[in-house]
Amino acid sequence: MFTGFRPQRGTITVILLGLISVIVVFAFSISRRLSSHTQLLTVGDHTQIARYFLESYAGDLLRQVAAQANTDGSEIHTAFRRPDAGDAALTLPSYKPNSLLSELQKELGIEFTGTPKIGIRGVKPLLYPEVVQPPETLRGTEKHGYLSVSCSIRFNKKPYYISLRVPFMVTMRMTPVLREFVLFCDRIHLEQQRPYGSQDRINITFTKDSDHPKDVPPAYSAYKGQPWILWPTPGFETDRNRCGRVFLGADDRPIYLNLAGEKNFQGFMSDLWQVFPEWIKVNKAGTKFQLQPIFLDTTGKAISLRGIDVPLKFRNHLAKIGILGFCHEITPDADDGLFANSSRDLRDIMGPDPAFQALVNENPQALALASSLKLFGKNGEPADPDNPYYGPAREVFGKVFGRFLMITFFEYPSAQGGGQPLPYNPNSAFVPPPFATFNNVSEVTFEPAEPGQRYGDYMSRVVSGGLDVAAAADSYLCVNPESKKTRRPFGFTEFAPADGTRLKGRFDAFGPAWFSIDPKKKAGDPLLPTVQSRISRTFPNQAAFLKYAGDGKTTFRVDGVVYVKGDLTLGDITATDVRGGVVLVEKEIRLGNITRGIDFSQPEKALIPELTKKIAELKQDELLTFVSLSGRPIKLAGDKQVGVQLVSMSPTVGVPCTQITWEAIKRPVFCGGIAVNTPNMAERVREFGRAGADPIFFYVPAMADPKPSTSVCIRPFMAGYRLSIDEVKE
Amino acid sequence: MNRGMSMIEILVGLVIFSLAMVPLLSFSFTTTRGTHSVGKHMMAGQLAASLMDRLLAKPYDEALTQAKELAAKRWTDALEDPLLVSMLGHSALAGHKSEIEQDLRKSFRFFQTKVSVKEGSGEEADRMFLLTVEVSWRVDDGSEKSRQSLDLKAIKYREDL
Repeated sequence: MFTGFRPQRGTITVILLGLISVIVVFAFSISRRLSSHTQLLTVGDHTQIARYFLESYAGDLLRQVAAQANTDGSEIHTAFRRPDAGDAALTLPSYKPNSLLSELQKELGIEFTGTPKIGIRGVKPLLYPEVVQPPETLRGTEKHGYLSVSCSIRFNKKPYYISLRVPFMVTMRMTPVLREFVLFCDRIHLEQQRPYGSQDRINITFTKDSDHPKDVPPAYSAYKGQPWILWPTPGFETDRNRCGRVFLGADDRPIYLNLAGEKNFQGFMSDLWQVFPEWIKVNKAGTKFQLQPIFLDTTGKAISLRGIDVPLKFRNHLAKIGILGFCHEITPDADDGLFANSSRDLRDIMGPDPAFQALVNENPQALALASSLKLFGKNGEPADPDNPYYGPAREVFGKVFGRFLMITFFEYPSAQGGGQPLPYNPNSAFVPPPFATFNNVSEVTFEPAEPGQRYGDYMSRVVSGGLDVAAAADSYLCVNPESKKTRRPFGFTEFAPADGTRLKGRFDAFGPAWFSIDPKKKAGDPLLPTVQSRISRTFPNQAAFLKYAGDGKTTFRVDGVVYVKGDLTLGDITATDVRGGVVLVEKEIRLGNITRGIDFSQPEKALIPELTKKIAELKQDELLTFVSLSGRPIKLAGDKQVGVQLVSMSPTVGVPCTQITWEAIKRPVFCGGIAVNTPNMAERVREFGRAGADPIFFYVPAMADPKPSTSVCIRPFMAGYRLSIDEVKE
Repeated sequence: MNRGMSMIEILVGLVIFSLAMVPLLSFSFTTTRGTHSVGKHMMAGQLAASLMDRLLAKPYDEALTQAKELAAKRWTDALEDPLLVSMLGHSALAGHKSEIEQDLRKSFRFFQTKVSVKEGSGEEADRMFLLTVEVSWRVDDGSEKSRQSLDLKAIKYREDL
């Protein structure tokens, strides 16, 4: 039996060994599988943990870069504003992680490895519309690109690395071109369809603080308001750049502003200083006007006016030229008027001047009504009449003419009544018939002083009358101070602000070109040559904006160009920590006071010096611009705004409409600039009138800085992302 | 006759084979459990990352509000996730809603999530917060004691920096 089994004894052993081997191999492979599962889980978990930590780390770096990007004086601030478009490396000196990140780092046992790398890459300049021509030095001031951030850590002995790309843009904090203006109205011509009568809605204020005459015809009671007075900023009157410019358009439509004048040389509200003696062509010698007798009244008393004597061809023959501004005292029915005791009135002196006739025929009060826009303050003329005064250097663009009356008397020895008026004659080469001397003893003839001079150069007339503009344009008085010499109004070709920007087209083309929003394109699209490409943040409503900007009590920060959908209503902003920018609003804007720490309750004597000191100190990066893109009215619930530009413009405006309005008005104080299509002066005059005191408007000199202030915005989304579980060498 | 195997030999063989199969089956069972457990762990990781990413992608204030709301609920059933619920309500899924619900219930029945928030203080107040997302699950569906959990942490910064 045993013999039979012996040869098969090894079979069991072999089977057993085989089975054991299979079990061992199986167990080993299962063990490996389980261990690789565990490894996989560990790697997966650790990668997730490292990823979120690295993202938090990179986020902290971005946050710290952004915080310094708009802080003047830091290296990062300077790096973003380099004029060249090349790549640049940024350093965060002594980077310190925020406390939450530090805590997390300790908790997870993570080690920061190497220095984080931050760089500016792919920089390209933002585009401008064709009408705006920035100088080479400014091209690239506004730009876009991306910020590259890379950092690494070691976690559980393994290196992890992240690299992000985040878009950024650098934009100006104020609107180019418009920031140069204290007042920009590109369709104010709609308020003066004709420069006479009811279609003239600009020359509508009475003089003497709008208090004269005392008894106004009922139809004119609404005119007893206050003009819009743009004061030259104290200390900057002679600086044409920092004085604040004015544009009254459209570019090709003349605007006539009645210069106010009063009985005395130094009127309470007189604009006659704007007429320079040199402007009178036939005046070759006098550099200043004097209060001097021009004619005699019925009692033989000399009536003195602001004027000048021009010697004629013959000895002791004079043309006595007097200038008159619009005021109650030149109206025919004024008891205390200039002609109250005279056998003549203005009709006799002006003769058939069509402009004069149009004025008095269409509106009986026309001679008493002056411009509601006071572009150089109320009466800036110094008290000392011995010094010629040319006014502040404020540039006025557009075909803006100053309208006044010039009356001329021909005085010669033994003249009847002290002198003979030289009335208007449509023929400027007219030769008047000889004038009789006293008692008709002899006759004298009017002979201009020099050959080439004509009767028309001397005669009495309404200067800048508006009816003979084609024939006599160069005898019109341009309101712009420089244009008085060239006799040509300032247009867009003369626009030369200190930052070097020039215009290639009309002023009235700027608004539609710059504020155009294409709903099909994204905000911040760098390919658009409009303000749309400058929008760094869009807020769905005003609450989101306020959350971002601050409460206005401690801080208010705009930093760049932002867009608020819907309406925007802001309460008082009293903070002094204000970082400026442009707030584009889809619909209506209502603003409270923006006081910048000034106490407006103090007496005016103390307030004005403090205010002017403040506006001289304000920097462009503190200034706020609010833009109503729909052109709807910007409502000012407060009447004190310091360091603000308000813009409400729409390409569809075709009739005068209110685009800025003061709601609760006491005494408006506004320091900054206003840009609208039409100010709707008739409404503003009444509004300011309700205040009971004249409004104060100043330009803020920093608005015209040659180097515009810019703001950096790091966008809240990524343009590139890379995570590595390894050492990465760039 | 002698050349064939006797009953005893067959029985001995079966015993040996059975003895060999015990550890093999045990290994196999362990492997299956391990794979199941790994799958659940990975699902938990994905769930945590998805919730974290969703919160981080929101604007700061919205993210903070939502995170605080979730934090107030403490442990929440993963199937009660508002996004999941709203997605299931989408008209495009109407035809397969019950199948999807059944599938989800099968996969995430014992998964729970918890969110916690720690806000920055001092100068960092209202500028950043630490967000923790924790996911817990049953390794063994039948045993509450078999619960495991993992968490992810990230810092959310205010976008306007």
